[in-house]
Formats: sequence, C-alpha cells, structure tokens
Amino acid sequence: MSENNHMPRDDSARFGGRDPADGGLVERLLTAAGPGPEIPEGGADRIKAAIRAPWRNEVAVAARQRRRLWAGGLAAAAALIIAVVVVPRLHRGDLPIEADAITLVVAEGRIEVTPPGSTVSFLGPDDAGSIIPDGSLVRTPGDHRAALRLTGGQSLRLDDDTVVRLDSERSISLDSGAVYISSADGAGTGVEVRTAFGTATEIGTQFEVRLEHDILDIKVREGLVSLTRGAEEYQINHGIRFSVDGEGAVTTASITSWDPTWAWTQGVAPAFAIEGRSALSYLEWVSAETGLSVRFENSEVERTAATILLHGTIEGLHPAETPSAVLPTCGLSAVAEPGALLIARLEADNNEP
Amino acid sequence: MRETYSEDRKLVRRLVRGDERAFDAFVDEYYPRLYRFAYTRVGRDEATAEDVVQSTFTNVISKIGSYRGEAALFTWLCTFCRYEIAAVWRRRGRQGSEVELLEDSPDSRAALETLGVLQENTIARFEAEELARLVWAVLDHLPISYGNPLRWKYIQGLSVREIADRLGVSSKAAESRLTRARQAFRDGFAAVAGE
Repeated sequence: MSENNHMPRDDSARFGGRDPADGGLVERLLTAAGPGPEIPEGGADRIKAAIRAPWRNEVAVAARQRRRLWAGGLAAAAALIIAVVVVPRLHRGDLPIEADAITLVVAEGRIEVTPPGSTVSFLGPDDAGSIIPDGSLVRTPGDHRAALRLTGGQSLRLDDDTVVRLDSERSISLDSGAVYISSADGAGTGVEVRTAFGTATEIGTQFEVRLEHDILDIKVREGLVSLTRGAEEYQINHGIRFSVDGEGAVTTASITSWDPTWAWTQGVAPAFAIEGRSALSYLEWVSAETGLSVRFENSEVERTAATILLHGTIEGLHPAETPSAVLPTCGLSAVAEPGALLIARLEADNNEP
Repeated sequence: MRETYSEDRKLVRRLVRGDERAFDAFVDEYYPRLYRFAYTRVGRDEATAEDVVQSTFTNVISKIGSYRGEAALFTWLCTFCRYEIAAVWRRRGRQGSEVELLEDSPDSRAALETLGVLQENTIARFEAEELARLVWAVLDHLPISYGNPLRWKYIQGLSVREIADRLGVSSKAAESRLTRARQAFRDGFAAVAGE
C-alpha cells in the first residue's frame, strides 16, 4: 500500500517535500509542525541570572554536608589518636616512595579491573594495596571512584563513570570519564594520558583530563601540561582550563586551584601518613590536596609548625576537614580565606572545650 | 533510552559538583523544552509560560541532587512543571483538566518513553494543530542528541555540514546521527500517537 493512499489530499501541501533517503515521513511531519512557539529572547539568560546564586549555594551546602558526613564518623577517632610532640628543630621532608608496580590505594565503592588476557575482577575498599598489572582495563561505575599509585609514585585518581587502560607505568589511555594526576609529594613526572582527541603529558604538575560529550577538557591545577594533537602541540599552564572538540575547536578559560570542580579528587585522596611528620609537612599536603595556599600569621607560627611532630592517623578524613582535627592539637588554628588557609596561634579561649 | 538516562545522570552529577558549564548547558537545553511544554498548557500565554518555567527551575535547582535517573531528566522536570501549571490554573480558579492534552494522558506519557512503529495512517487522524503539538512533544522527549539535529535539519533547514559543525563531528557522523534520530522520532511518534 503506498503512503499516499493513507494521506488526505490536502496534506501534501502542508507536509512539503520528501527526503528520499529515509526520512520522508519524518521530514513531512517536522516541516508541517514548524518551529513551535517562539522561545522568548534572553529567556534562558534570565533563568540563569535568577537561579545561579541559589544553585551555587546549594552546591556549597551539599559539599559541606558531605564533608560533615566524612568527618562526623571519623573525626572523633582521629582526634583521639593525634598527639603532639614538640622537638627543638626538625623538619622532615616527604618520605621517598618506592614501588615497582601500579597499586590500588583507595577505592570508593567497587571498581572493575580486567588484566590483559584475563577476566574482570572487582576491587573494593578492602583491596587497597592490590597490584594492578600493566595493560589492565580499569572501570569505575557511577558514584564509584578510585586512586591508584603509579610506579613513579604519582597519584592517579579516577572519577566515576571512567574507563582507562594502564598501558605502561607512564602511559594511560582514557576512553571516557575523567582522571586526575598528581605528581606532588616527590613523585616522578612525565605521565601521559592518551585520548582520541590528543595526548596530554604532564611536566611536574596536578591536572585533570576529562573526556565527555565529545569534548576533551584539561584543567591544570599546578605546573604545566603539554597536549599533542597530531602535528599540533599546546602548552597548558596552571590556572587554565583548556577544551577541544572533535573538530579541533579550542576554548580556554581560567580556573582557580580551589575551584569546586576539583572537589571529587579529595574524596579519593590517599591518606597522608602523619606519624612522625612535621605540622608544616602536613600543611603542605593539605595545600596540595585542597588547592588552597597556606599562609602563616607570622614567622614564629611558621617556625612552630616546622618543629612540631605529629602522631596518630587521619586516615579516612577528607583533606579539607583535617585541619580542624589536627591543628588544635598543635596549638594552632586555620582560618579560611579566599583561596588560602591562614594558620595562626590558637586563641586561649578557643582551647576551651 | 537507558543510554539517555546515563547522559542525564552525568549532567546532573556535574551540576551537583558545581560545574558552571553543566549549569549553562542545563538551562540552555531545557529552557526551550520546558517553555514549549508550559506554553501549550497555560492557554498560550507567553508571560505565564515564562513565569511557570522560572518557578520550575527555581524549585528544581534545590532538588536536583534527588534526581536518580529512573526517568529521562526532561520527564522528571515536567513533573515539576506540571505542578506549577496546576498552581496557575488554581489561582485562576479553573481546573487543570481544562488544559489536558492528548500527550498528557497516562498512556501517551508512558508511550513517550517507549517504542512503536509509525504508519502513514497515523498522521491522517490528527488535525494540523494537534499534529504539530505532538511533534513538538516527541521532539522534546527525544534525547537532546537526536532532537536538536532533527530540528536543525527539518525546521531550521540547516545542511548536514552545518549540523556537523554544531555537533563537533564529521559530516558522515552527522548523517549517521540523523538516521538514528529519524528512527527514534518515528518510534516515539508512533507510540504517542497510539499505534
């Protein structure tokens, strides 16, 4: 039965021409329907202006609530085991990292690991320390994240809904999702992240590579990243968010090291082993993880931080929450400033329970 | 459709994280859809439709974290929008049933999330205005990656090359996307039109 046998005679005029490829019927329907009601000009901008501030507030409140959940269950335990010893003068540098295999450090939820030529294995929080063979395919499902330690000591963090292949100790392939590399803490450099849109190579830095919606998005928090796309090469400095789509269209924007979009990386931050480390060393870690700079009220406070040794553990605590648990035991306090933490002497009144 | 919800969940997760670009994309993509949805349900009153959409976004943004991806994000947003529309009619002292549309029936609403096969004789059953409204409803319920290319090609008259540019893909990929979009539209329209 032909199409025209089903159509009223006057429909041909309102449906217009046909697309011989396949969409004849669809084309006629859409053409007949027309564009629909006219969308008010500037309407979306008015909505954004009206709800952007409430949305940002919601994001901030939710972030605080998440941090409270982290801290609520664990802060008490942490506070009990943190002690302070003051020594005449000791400032230990970061401990050397020795590893000859890629290892799982933190699993927030369950991740899938498929070694080459093998079947998939599932690793969870209790599997920290497991070795992940070179060539493995690692996948984090929705709402599950993980942190791995590469053989050079770099921290490789996987956001949720991410698929990566660990090609070698210095090279990973990102199929989708986002990874964050941190070569802070005395780790080596030169890790490359391969994507369909180009290869990002770190040059001593912290950065995120995200591949979603056919857009490669690179955010550099610290240091420098080199992106190679065919014959093109881009140098992306810290504080820059660089995006490129499938057709090579590039956009850049500035981004602070404490932008809320870095927050997911803290959720899987490997715990800082504070035992025997100086408060100054610990604060450097807080700064690296939160993106906040650390400012001291005066040089005496800085000297004090360098001479205090910490004992105990902050394992399980969110990095941004740890100062309120750790610093009071050192007679110090942290005051949040835009982009910074001001470290000061703890006021006597503040020492009261 | 499962893939659609996955994309929707990703967008919402980015919103919850505070991603400014996700915020802009969220409003840019869903403002026109919700406006069309509201406009046909508030007596084609532009100012009221704008108010309804703004109230919808205001309510949604404080609850966005509760979206679980169990339905398409647009379907979820429409539930908020329906509430605002009902409030408009209550304030006017009229019942919401006066704006009941074919696509508002439970069967049609379910059908917008399901599949079917479009036949020519489906089209002949509808008046032009009703047909147009159904087309817009189906377009708005399609994944954005399908709905937009169809609008650009058949309503705005863009070439495949221009569509490819907008999507940031090759012409071949755009053609492929259009083919899948046409099929999705045919399926969706057939379902909502009661095939």
